[in-house]
Amino acid sequence: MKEIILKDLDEKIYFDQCENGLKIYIWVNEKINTFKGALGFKGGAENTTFTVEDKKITVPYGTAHYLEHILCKNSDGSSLLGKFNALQSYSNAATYLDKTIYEFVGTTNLYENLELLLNSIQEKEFVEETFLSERGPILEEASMIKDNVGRLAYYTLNRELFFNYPNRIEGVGRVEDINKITLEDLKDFYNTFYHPENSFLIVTGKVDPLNVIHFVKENQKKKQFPKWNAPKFPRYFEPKKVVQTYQEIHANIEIPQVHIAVKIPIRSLPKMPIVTLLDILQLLLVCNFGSTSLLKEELLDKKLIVSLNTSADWERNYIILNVSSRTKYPEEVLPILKEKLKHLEGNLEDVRRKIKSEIANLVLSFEDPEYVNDLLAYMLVKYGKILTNEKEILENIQDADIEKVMKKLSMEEMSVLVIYPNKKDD
Amino acid sequence: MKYKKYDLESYQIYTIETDKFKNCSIEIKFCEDIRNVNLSLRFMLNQLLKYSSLKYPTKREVTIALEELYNASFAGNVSRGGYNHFSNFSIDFLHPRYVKEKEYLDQILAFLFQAILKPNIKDGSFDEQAIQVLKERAHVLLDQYKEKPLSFARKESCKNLFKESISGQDLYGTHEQLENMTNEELVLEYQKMFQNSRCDILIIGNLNMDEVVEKIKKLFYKPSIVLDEIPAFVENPIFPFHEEIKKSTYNQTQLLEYYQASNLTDFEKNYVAPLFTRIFGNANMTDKLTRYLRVENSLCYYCGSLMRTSDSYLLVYVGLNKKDVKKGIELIRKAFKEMTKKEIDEDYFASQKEKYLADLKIRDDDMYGLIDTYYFHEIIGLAMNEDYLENIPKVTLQDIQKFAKKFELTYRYILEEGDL
Repeated sequence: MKEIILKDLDEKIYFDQCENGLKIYIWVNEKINTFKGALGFKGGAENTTFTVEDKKITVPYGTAHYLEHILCKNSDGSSLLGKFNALQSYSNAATYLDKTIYEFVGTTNLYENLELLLNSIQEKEFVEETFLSERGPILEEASMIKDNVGRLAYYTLNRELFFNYPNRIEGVGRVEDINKITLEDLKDFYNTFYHPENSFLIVTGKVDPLNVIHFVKENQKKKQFPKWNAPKFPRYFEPKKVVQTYQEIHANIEIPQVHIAVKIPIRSLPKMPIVTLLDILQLLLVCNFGSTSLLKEELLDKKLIVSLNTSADWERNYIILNVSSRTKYPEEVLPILKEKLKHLEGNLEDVRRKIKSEIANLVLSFEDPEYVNDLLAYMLVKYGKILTNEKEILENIQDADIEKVMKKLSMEEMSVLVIYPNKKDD
Repeated sequence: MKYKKYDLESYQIYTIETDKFKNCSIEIKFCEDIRNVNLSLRFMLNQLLKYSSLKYPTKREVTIALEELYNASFAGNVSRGGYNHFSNFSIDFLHPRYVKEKEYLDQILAFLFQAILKPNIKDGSFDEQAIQVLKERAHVLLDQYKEKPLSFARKESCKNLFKESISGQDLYGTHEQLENMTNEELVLEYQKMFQNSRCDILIIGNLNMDEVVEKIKKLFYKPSIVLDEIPAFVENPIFPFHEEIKKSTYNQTQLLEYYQASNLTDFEKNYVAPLFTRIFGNANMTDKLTRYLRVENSLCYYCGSLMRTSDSYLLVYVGLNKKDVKKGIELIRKAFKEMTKKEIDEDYFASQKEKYLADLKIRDDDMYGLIDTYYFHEIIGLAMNEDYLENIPKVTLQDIQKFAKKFELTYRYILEEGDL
């Protein structure tokens, strides 16, 4: 067992690996009662085309999510979540674009929960009848998601930004995709991605790390897995240009929304670790558009906006800067936001204060076993490792770094999405 | 964990000293009988105190001050329990041991009490610009529920059923009230809140509470003594059954049913109700609703029930296709009927009781849950963990059936998918 020390946070992650490749990460909080266990796989909704041993496999959109539903059912059609319930735990599963996670939260029966999680996900018997019976709830989930404006905006903007990246379709799939998915598709996905070499187990909260590792290793020793053939993925050539610069749609909202996304090639920005780059960009956005910015204050005072939010994300070879606002006056607000994006300012006093806030958030984040579990899973898939020096990164951001990034920022490739309320007859 | 109550005559302080958490929280609650409160005015006042003060007149300045305090979080909101209307102000902050400034706790307390005691009133008026901005935001908040089909269906159906009752009212008030309120009324409302409300302060964290209380005594004084006991339960009339079908532009149909009850005992409200909900429908995949609607008949992705004992009703909800509504109604009926009969597996019932007790430990890890439970136990007698540990095992299947029989279906609301 190794200890991964999180610098200056007085926290550590215990790590070990089973012979079959399953990686185990454990974070302990002795002061609480709760624990969370999560089994994650590096494969999600965006993985619809992959090659295994020279065989190209293509599955419909929504396959990873359909599989997640089926793995949450027992072979007799009853719910696996019911078995966790009988162990006095809560359980859930989620399919993201790049990963799938199965998890439980409880205060008692830790080892029974771990055994149930590992055995039911790693040893799956696929039953046609169960597969068919789950299509109805998934179609209803897809209907429900159509009314989720946040997700609608996210995927619509992705389609405006990217020609080829596989993040353009809703992870649950469209109705026509879901109806196409076969049991064979699920098996193909399962056999490709659900291997210990491609997975990780994260246990957080009130647990004994040595006992957990011993238990998991013993559990894994009893199982046989075929040799893992890592899937190969298409190399996505993504042009610098955006697909579409402007689009208007209608949805069930009360106040119009303006979403602006800027596509910036990473290689056009100064060479620095991606985490540092994202931190700097997020700080810049918050300083220019956040609650302490003069711009937001002015727009609120003039009653031009109701809200204003930002984010900086990393998508393969690109950084995406997002600015979104709820406003009754999209035509007036849009040029103001675009103009500000093109002329970002780096008030260093503001940046220093924001860094102080971020460090406080970081200290506080290592308290809740559910949050820490999610954070570790995010790091493992997004960065391929646990980030051990986040506080140091924030503290070491120099004024010169910020200036260097600002100089290189190009806001040329910009997509805009305006969502208007559906017209209603009174 | 060390619980302690400090009686300071015109206000009480409830504290829990615990080293479980890295942060600490202090909340001030002003409580008044909701029948005497103008909801819009009280909500707007709450927001004005949250976003501005004499020292920090704008939201921007408030935010900068909080960031300087290591991103302390200052929140303001309104809530209701029975006829109790609460105007809440809370500050969450890092435990002082994580920061270098020795005066950090004093700075936190100074911020909190200047926000409450020194509002941005000059020459007898709040800043008019701030009022206008917050009015705009409040109008938006009032309509926000319309953006989600289940929220829309819940809010509209509740308003329709409880037209004459506080159970159906929005705590933000109405658009009309918002539009018509004046600056003078808001200033009077501030004075009224201090004069007429019961005031309590709740503190949780790894702090020397005696010391904190001494500091608060120097900073906070409330002239009037109000210790009214306000009913914590609303007894609504039982309405004759009626059904409404509305059309919408949402993509999924929402089916909601209200079951009303009267004469629920305290034992039923505290101990039978939560077990009833777990067995009947709380989306744990083994409850009756989820089994019948989702697992066995593939009709939906989500369904569940919500017990509002303080308003004496049970709400059942499901999102499904319009063509399946009739079958959905039948299956809900079947699930509910079984709750009134001996059609609950005894082992399953026993396991749900055990699970409820196990969940109390999860609740013990939630800072806000801990302090709220302690507070509401003190002021309206809600159960504490030890009460649950003692009484949940005593609940029998007969108690569940008797409880279920007290409910009757009084209202069905169907919000249909499709174009208007």
